[in-house]
Amino acid sequence: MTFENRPLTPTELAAFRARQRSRSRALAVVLLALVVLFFAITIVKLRDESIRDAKSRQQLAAPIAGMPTPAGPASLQSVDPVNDGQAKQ
Amino acid sequence: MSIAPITSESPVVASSLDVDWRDFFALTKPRVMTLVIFTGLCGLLAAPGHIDPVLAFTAILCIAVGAGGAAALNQWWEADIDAGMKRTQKRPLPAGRMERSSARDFGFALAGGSVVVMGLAIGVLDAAILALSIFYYAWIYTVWLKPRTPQNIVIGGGAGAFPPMIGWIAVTGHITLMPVLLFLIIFMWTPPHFWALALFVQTDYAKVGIPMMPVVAGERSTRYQILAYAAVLLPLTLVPWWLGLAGVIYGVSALVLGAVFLALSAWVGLRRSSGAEDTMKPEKRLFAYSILYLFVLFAMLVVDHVVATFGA
Repeated sequence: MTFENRPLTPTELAAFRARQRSRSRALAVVLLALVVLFFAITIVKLRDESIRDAKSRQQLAAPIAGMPTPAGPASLQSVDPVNDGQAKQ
Repeated sequence: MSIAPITSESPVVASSLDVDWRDFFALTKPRVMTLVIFTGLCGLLAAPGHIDPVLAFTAILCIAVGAGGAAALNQWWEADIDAGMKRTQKRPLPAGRMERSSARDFGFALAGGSVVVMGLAIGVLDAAILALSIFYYAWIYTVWLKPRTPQNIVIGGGAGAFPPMIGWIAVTGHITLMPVLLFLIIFMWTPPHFWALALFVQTDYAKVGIPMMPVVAGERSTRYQILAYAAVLLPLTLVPWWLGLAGVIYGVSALVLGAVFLALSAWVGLRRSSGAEDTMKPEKRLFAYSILYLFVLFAMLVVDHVVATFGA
């Protein structure tokens, strides 16, 4: 870019401001999209985590075949992985 | 407090603040990115298993942004070379529309951001492969291989071969034979694809001192090598079918598409250029077909997987 040292003409200044505005808008769109994306990723991760937790609790609570099982709380013996790990009715 | 008037010599004008967002977008080489996104998506869709659509989108976005970052770093490093070639002299840096440091910072930001998000959202293995692919393209290919050896595009082709592997691993979580085969297919496809282009733009490469195969080894050797790689590519694309990793839809498509690719490569490989007045039509045709070839081949892999999964 080779310009002489002079104030910008109104046309040049308008073009400069227009470029700045368009860049700011593009950046705003990108940032907003990232906010939405990170929110969605967090929700998915939390949901997956809770399903995994419920499954592992269910496995821990499952009686080993052939072994006598002490009578425990019903909530530990039957956990619903879909329903936030709460005991099945 | 007084504000200095904006002049055309003001730092604000000469700095990156004046750059249009489209120039930043152009730094990411959007056309190259299309193929990267597509092959990555096909790897993801053809993989056995399930991935949440949000995470699938994130994986593809990270592949695309990582590729864009690598492309920006490539243009930052090669700004002087790009200025000397007709094909690239209108890019933002050689055209003087952007400072070099802006391209460098933009490239590092995209590359770093994509790897971090990939690691947090998808997994460490995928993030590591993405980081490797960015490093491979931006440093191993751009800085190290390209100015040194005519084999630059052969070894450097690995950079573009990672996306389907990353897509696949995003679903399965581990590396198996199939993603390695997908990697090898793109790896073997790159030399004939790129040398076909190099044959009709070789004067540009010679002018800026890049040792592309036609410039160093000569046109005849390059043509033979195009044919040799195409001959290896055809049976390689059939391996997934042969091993039972893909079905008949993919297998027949690979056979037909590969036969046409081989025929066009043979035409280029066995002909002799008629000098300066040669329009290089067969080379241009091979270059255009090679892009279509890869698109359709990977699309057929997905169609085959969808039919096998839902059609049975």
